Amino acid sequence: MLKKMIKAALALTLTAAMVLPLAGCGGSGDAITVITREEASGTRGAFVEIVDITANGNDNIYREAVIAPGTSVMMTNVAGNPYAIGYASTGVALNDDRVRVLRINGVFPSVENMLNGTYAIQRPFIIGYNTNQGLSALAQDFVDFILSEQGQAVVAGRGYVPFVPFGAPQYAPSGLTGSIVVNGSSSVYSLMHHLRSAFEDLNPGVTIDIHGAGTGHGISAARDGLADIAMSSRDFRESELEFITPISIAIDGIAVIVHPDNNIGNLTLAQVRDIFLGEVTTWDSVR
Amino acid sequence: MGQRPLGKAEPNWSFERWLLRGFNREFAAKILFATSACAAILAVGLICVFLFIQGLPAIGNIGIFNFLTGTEWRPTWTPPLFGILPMIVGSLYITAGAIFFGVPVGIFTAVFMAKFCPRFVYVVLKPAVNLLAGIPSVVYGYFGMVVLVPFVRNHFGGNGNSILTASLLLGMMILPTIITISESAIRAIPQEMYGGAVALGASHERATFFVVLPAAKSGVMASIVLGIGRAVGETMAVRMVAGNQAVMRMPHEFLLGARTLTSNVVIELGYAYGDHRAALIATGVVLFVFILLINALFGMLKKRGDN
Repeated sequence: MLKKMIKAALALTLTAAMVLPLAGCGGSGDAITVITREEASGTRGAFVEIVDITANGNDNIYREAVIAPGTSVMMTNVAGNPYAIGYASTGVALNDDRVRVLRINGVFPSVENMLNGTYAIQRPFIIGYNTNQGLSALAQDFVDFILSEQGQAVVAGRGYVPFVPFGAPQYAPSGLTGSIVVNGSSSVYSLMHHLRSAFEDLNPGVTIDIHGAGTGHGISAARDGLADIAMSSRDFRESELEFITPISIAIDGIAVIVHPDNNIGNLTLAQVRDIFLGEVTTWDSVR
Repeated sequence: MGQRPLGKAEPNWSFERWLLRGFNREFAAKILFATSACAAILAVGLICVFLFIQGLPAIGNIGIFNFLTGTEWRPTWTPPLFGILPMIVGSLYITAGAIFFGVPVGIFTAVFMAKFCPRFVYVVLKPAVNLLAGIPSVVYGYFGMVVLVPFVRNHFGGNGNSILTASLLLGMMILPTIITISESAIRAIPQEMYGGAVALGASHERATFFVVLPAAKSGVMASIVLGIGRAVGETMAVRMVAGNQAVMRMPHEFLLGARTLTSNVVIELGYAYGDHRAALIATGVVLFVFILLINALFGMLKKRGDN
């Protein structure tokens, strides 16, 4: 029995030793590692739609793309792989020096370029609430704060484009107490986190629970009454608008990101599309 | 002052006694333990019922053949495609890889700890193994992302998020299970067997590897089976390093990524609804059957060992 096991182990090791070098010579060092988000992601939904990575209206991102569940996993993956290309909210990507943000069609995703519309890949940040249940008084107060001058100042201060750039109303604390639950997009999460801090400073008796479980998660949670407010990094779909009411709070770009060691600086929208469709697979062919 | 009237409360009154007055204490204890046991069985039963009620209709709708042998998983397409064969083979490859890396290291460590280890090494090694078991899987996952993924990319090729990486990481994660159980199995072998072998002229090494280790076979096998169980069920760490592509892989493509059954459920369950959700629960049914088979195997090995 033992002898047999030893023999089997030896055979396996030998096979592995023979196969390893064979497999090693397959990939060239210049091959692009495409990294994408999971299908529930609003960032993915918006990216696929804007860059038009579709076939017959269906999401057709390269099947060999590594799937990174969550914004932070995406950032760590790109930061750790010199051949990687990925995408993330500009608000997150521009504040993270572990990755480099590319120009698209020669335009950098700065606030000015998003305001004047020259940066191609931009989408709204939306929050939504269950239409049947409506907003609680406290949740309504929080929404009023987000759309006020102070709230929109937080949005602008974090590198996003305010949805109401001029003439937003002043917010006065209402003195309400209690707690609300916010769930959804991991891209909106970091902005919401800063909005919460500012709101809680003004309203000491308030607790806001924020979960960044993904756009799809957040919408389901609002539908099932598990969250007061859902965060979304894409437009709501028609089927979702049957039970959810949208409120736009900011505009955000999707930055195409690479490892800092990658010397590429610019890609055209068509090149981005080809890369994420898997039709271009080496960095040489886009340099 | 004076004598306490008969029939009043006893001087050493206690709450416990008051509670159990008129009860047989043994009976009360029996009820308590039976309730605890029932709760455990009830939990398993409920999970089982829930999974099968929600999962089987979906398998019926998709067609068991399409579901189990379909190679395309496109849940958001119209019309959707639900084939979980890529995930089944993904789970199999990654588990097999974990066994390949984890089992030899684990068993030799167990033998070393039981039979060769000097005392001063043992007092360091034993807590270290226990600590390995206590590390949360998300920490393993992060370690995999920042250490193993670049290591595999630079030394073996591919992009690093691969079946090989996940196998290495899982091999590490099943070590404590294999080491702890194998070690106690080896220690449980009567000292007489070892003594007898040495008396017949066997060296320490020979007696350990050819008498004691074979005698502990059933325990060692049990440890491997439990390790397999852990490897099949592991989710968090695997989904952080495995790449998660729901694409059919061949065994020689171990430098490419794969998605396991567990990752498939956890990545998509939160937002899935309708048929998609049902298909994910059906994936859970398949996983459940996997684990049942592994446990049955464990029971068989244990029975054979007892005989």
